[in-house]
Amino acid sequence: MNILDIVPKKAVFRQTGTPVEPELRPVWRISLIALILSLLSSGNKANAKKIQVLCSLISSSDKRQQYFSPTKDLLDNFNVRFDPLVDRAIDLGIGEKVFELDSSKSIKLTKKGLDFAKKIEFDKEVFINEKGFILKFKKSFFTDEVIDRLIAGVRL
Amino acid sequence: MSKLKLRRLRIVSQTNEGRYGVDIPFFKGLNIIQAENTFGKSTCIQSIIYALGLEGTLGPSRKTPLKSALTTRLKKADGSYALISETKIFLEIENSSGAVVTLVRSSIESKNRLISVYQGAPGDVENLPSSALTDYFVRDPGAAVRDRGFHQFLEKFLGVDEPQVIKYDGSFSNLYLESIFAVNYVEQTRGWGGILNVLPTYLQIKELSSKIIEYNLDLDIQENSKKRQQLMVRQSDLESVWTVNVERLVSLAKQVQAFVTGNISDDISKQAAINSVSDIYFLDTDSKEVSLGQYVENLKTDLEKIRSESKAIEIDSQKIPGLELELTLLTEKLTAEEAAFSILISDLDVSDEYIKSIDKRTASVRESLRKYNDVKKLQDYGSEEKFNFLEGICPTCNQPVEDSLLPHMHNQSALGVDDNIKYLEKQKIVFDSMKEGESKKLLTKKSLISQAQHKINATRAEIRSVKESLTDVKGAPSRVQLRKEILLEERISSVEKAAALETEIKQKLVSVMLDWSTITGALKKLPWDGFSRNDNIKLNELLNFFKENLKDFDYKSTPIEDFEISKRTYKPAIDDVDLGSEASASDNIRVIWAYMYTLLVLDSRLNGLSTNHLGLLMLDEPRQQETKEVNFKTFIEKAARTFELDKQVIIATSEKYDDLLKMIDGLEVNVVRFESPVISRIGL
Repeated sequence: MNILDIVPKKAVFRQTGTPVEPELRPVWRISLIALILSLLSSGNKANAKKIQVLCSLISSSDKRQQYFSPTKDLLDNFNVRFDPLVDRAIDLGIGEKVFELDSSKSIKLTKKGLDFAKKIEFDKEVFINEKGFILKFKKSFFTDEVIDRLIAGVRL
Repeated sequence: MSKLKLRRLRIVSQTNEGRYGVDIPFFKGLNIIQAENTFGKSTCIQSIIYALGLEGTLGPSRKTPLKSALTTRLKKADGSYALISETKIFLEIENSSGAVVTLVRSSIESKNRLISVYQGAPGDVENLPSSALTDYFVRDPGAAVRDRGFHQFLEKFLGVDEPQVIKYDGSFSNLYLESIFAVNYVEQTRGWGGILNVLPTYLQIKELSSKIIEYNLDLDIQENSKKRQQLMVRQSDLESVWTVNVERLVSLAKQVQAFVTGNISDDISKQAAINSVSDIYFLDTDSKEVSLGQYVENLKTDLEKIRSESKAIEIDSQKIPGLELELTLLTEKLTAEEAAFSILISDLDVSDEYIKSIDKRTASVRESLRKYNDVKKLQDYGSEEKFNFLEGICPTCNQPVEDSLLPHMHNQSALGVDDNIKYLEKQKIVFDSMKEGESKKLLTKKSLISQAQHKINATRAEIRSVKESLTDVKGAPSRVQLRKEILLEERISSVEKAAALETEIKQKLVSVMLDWSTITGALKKLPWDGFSRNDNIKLNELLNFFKENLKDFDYKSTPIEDFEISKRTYKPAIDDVDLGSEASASDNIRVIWAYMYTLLVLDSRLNGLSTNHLGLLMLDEPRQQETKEVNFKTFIEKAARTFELDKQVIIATSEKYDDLLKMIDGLEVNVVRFESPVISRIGL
């Protein structure tokens, strides 16, 4: 049945709120950052730049595909987006004591954060595509050098 | 019933100081090897593993797993050493049908890839005629699959049917005996670190420990998921046959400038019954849909009309002005038709672009939906962690916050997650509908284009023939008519041919659909999560019995009611997290005891359902300090019960002999006690 052919009998308008992109839900973004810290960062900590770049890369299915595309040489620049909302998510996470700032201002998973990240990691039904991508890399793969190259669009 | 029973272990070492060795009998039920530490209990247990060719269970090393006490030098009772030239292990085993064989394996490097098999239980093992022995090779890549491979022999003898499993590289492999045996043996050092702690992970098998337990419990889930996979392959084969045939039908319609109605769907699951009448439709000159039958009728009527007209026409030179006028009119008609054609073509591009843009939007909505499903799940985890913002409260300042990272929502609050999902689903339906509508339009446009092309060709042909008529006045007027006549005849025959082909394709479609529904039905009948009723019975009983045993062993670290059997790993878990660091060292051992023991005797509690357990459990006692407070007595009592269940338990322990005697008082137990080193001087 075609929904565009259905004529509603009565139209009612109700205030229910604005739809929000899933990536803008705090819990989604905090979870992703927690995964990045637990699976792709040694010592479960990383600087804000790394988190920005990896969030941008992992959130987007286009970018994930592009990363492993055989023609990626043609598309060197990943167009990493520095998103202030990632910072906001980090702030919220620090407020919830999922993350903490260490002496070098790196963002680090707390014990609570690590438990949370492990739950997500072991749940087979959540973040399937994202985890599939993350697990293709060694924990130590994304060094500062690699991150800088990703930003500059230099071939890896 | 026990698939594998050990009957007798004999070790004979040739040394520079004569023959050394040991002879240990085993019976059904509980067998205890008691000796002081360092006297060589583990050596005995490892010799059993070695004789069975299962050292691969412990790791990938190609070296002999025997201790140096059996390969190079042996410490004698007085502390000095005897040098060993060769050690032979003789292991007598029995299978479920009572057949007995003796396995012989040498410690010497050049011979340790062979295991010799003697049919029966000889009294004097050292002088077996070589003609009575059959050699099999072991520790080679083909040991489990080739005829002369020892594992091939052992599997046949034990009646083990290895299931297929998937490796990390995606290829298939058998779950070999060295993996399966992990539930039958707890090694002294690493074995007590956790359930199935020592596994042949170097075999690169995916989810190895759960596959092993799955096999041991004989769960149907393997079979079910295999069946599901096979059915799905066949289903998708049929679906592609369907699509190919539908495409054939569509291109057939295109060839005769027609189209196929929506009664035939590209998607087999949306297909209603297939019409026996034609689904090919034509657009007539007023863009109305005409069925194939009707269309042929119309063509035939036209043909009749032309034929009767052509007879009536008289060849007359007076007709020239008329022909010239017709020519002018036809040229104008052609120009108009060509203009219309180019508009149609550009219109088609617009439609194509539009469909592409809808596809893009659908893809993005689908991605959002997937992410939202994640959000829902994550919220559950988040509320377990008591995230304040999920309650709409800022964790830092306790002011209300929206469930969104955007700082300013325009006087509006964020839609709830469930509502947002509903919103996205609605959006997807709208996009799907838009695409469906546009696809239909596209189809009409395409058929209009081919019709327009056809018209242009016809007009051009008409112009040509009018021109020819003008140059050859006398014979001319009938040429136009003739041409029309021939074209119509050709058209009728090609449409009729198409109708015949359509019937053929539809027959194929009907049979594909029939097979497809059968398979889809079979798929629906498979349990949704792969666990059959029997599987659930087994897992439930595993859990209940495990808890009972755990209680009897005085487990204290966590409430026993909290235990579950994870459907992912089949191991005991609390809140779906495998038991790990929470339990104390001694409780950890209790859990391993309880679990291994439960697996061993589970089939006796299943009312007729069976497991694939070999019916043998060998435990090499953990280091002393860890067991101090453990209730060994209860375990001994339970293990002794396996006598009635026709199973076998072999324990190596350094528990004090007097204490041990008290524990086994009144129980059916075979105790083999050594007061001096186990491997000692024999004969002369």
